[in-house]
Amino acid sequence: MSIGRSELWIRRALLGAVGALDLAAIIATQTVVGRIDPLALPTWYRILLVGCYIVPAVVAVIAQFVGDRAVRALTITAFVASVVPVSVLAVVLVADPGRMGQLPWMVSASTSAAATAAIAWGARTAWIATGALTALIWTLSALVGDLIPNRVANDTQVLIISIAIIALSGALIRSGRAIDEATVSALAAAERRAAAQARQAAAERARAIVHDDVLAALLLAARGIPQLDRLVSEQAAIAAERVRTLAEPERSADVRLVDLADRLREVARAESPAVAFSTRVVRGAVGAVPAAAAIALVAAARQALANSARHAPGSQTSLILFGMRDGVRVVAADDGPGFDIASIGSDRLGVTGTILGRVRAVADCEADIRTGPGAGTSVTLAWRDPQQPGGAAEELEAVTAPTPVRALSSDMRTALLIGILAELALAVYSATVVAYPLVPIAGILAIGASLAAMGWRPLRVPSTGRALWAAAFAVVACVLIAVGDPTEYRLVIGWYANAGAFVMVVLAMRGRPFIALGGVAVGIGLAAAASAAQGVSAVDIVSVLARPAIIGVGAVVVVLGLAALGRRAARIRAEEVEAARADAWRGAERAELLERVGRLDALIGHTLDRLASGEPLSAEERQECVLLEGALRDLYRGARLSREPLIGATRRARSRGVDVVLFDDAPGEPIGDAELDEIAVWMSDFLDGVPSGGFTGRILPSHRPGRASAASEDAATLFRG
Amino acid sequence: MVDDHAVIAMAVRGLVESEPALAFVGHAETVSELFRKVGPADLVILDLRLRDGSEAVRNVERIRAWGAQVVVLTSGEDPYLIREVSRADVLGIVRKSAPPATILGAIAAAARGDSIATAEWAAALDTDPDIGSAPLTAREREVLALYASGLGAKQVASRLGLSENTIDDHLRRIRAVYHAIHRPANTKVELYQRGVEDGFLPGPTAG
Repeated sequence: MSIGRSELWIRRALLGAVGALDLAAIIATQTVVGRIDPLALPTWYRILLVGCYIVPAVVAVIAQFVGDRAVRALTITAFVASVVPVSVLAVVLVADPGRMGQLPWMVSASTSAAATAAIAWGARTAWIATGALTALIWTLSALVGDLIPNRVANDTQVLIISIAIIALSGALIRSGRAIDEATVSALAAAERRAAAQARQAAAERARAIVHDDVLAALLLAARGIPQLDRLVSEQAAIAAERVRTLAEPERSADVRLVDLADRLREVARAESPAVAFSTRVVRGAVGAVPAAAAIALVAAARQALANSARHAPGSQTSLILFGMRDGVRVVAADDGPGFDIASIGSDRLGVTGTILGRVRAVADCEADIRTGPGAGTSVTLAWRDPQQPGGAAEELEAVTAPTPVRALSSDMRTALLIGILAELALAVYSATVVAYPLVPIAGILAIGASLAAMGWRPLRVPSTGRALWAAAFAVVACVLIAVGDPTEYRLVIGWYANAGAFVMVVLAMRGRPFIALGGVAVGIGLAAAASAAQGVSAVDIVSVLARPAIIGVGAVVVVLGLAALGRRAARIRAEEVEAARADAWRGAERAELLERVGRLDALIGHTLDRLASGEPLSAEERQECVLLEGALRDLYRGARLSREPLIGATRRARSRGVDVVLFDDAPGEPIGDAELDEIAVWMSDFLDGVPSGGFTGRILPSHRPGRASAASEDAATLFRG
Repeated sequence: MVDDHAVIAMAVRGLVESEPALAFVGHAETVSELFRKVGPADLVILDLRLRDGSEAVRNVERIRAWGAQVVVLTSGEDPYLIREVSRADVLGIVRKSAPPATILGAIAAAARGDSIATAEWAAALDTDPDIGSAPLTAREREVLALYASGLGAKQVASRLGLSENTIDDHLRRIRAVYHAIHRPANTKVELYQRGVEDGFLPGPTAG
């Protein structure tokens, strides 16, 4: 199963972080961390050791350029490379027992096994792998007489860091997966919505052409006024051309962006001097907009401002023209009371009829209204250049995505709990072996105070004050490393500083990375200075304080990097959604238009061609024009009444000279086909009895005494079902 | 006449000129062109949907400001557009496909300053969700619904046992109320005035 883009990004970033930390560990262990009594090991093993720990760094680099399957394989490779040294060491020690000394630091200093296991298989496998490795290392340490306090303390610190890494990796991967799943849902929803809107837009375009040109030609042809024959012929030719080119992109002169801005400025000024008009044009923005699009945008903007004036009097209203590389957007917004758009019935066409309908009726144009009770109203009108790839959303649409750091709730709690317990165990142990037991006790209190200052609610970002207090206590914990007997400096492997850095990692994860970074810098700096003042050697200071420094700084870099990653993932998602939406729009619009062209051409094409020929019409042909004009009108205004046998009855009635009008005045109300058929039968029976004059058939709005009404000049009746 | 289809304008011209009491002043494709090209007129017959993208409501307002009354011609399109224009100060809305005698009768009535009630107009108002909150009496709602069903003034009067004059009064009040419920109220004072005019609030009393 392939993984999504966001998850892939996060896996790559995590591998990058693992590689960087591993490299830092190699450099530290090979340069500053010395062994008092190193275990004698063959040279090939030492080469293997360094080689294996270089693998995650190499993997991290390669992973940035390959696909998801290769990233998976590389992650497993890095994991295998991380466990090979300790496994081979076990074989070496079992095959050749009796060796005594300290295990190489590298064997236990790396957290890459935990991290790569978490990335490759998830937290559970990572826990098992980490536990097994720690147990194996301690067993080997016991075998070679290295199970000394330093070893235990060191490995415990590594364990705590591993726990944090597993928690972080798992949560981030889940977060990436959630973003991808949300993207898939958003893509599907955007495609569905765009397709529906495109079909509606296509219907609007077809309707506009029918109303503008076709009905005019048919109506006048039916009237049979000889003086108008030439004009009717011309009008029919225009109508036929418009119907047949309906599915083709509209060709019209362009309006320069600057002229569009002038028109919009004029509209804003005409509406009210209080309307704030502004333009925001990016470099490389489109230079012009098709005239049809410009007209629709300006008219819809005028309507939007008029609506604001009507429904949100006294509100702050703005009109902004965005010029972008792939099109233009016009946003009319007010901070008025807004309204619940879902509560507006489909019969209330104020919003859809004028603003949305008018804009969507033009090729490559879209409109969207965002509002809510008490939330103001924002109308976005857009023309997208079909020659440019989609991307306008990037600049205007805020796409919310799960923030990785915020997704850490349960994992942070677990990691923190285990970390605290481990540190506590370490502190209690050190209190039993050091000369001044009060120092580790003070360290426990300082770490506890730091955590308490932060608060035990992982989803909440601590206030600045709380974060500063937490950092201050962590600094105290770090500085305690320099208090006590200098000869015991390396005895506890600086657990105070590590614990302080660990607490600062939590602070960084909870949304205070810079205060955490400050805490680590000040804590390590003061601890180093105090240690130097105590006469501790530089090598010891570096070897003890390097780890907390790497932990603190590394964690902050990771947190900041991942926050940027989250934003990038959200942007990628917006781009994907926008592209899918644009494709779906164009596909659906064209399909709908082609279908409508086919239907209209079949229905009226022949008649329009006949009219366009300019040849005199026979009485029958004029009669056919009457019938066609009526049928088209019924199709739009009569909607669900345009069905047999009523279609036949209206033809017969119009042939008798009856002026038939059909209204579907309950457009949003579902009525079953069976009932509609009954209404059609009932109405056609009535209509067949109307000899002349007028007839009005109507589906009634809801909550009326009947479902439909039929009225002629002599009688009227209701259909009650 | 303002219509971007010359053939429609010519047809209407023929109708108008067939009535001795009326004179056809001129034809323009847009309202702006009307002001430039055509001389003063008592009545403008306006196409509901012009291809220049202008709004019917704004067109009506401009023509009213110019000093002429307005009758709107419609192909019978969606009721929202008819509602929109009904909120402006128009004398009536007439379907282009109505029998020529009906169109001419409507134009002649409008030229006399009379308002015209048609089924298209009544159906559009009758389905406006806002009409539910308008201060119309039950009788007025009944008149509107009957008109929307296609009955004429005579039929409605006979069905309700009222005189045609009373029906005309009801129609005038329906028109006025509908016009009033969509007027903007920019200040609290205006809002109060609208409320008093529309009957939502009691008027100020002496003392």
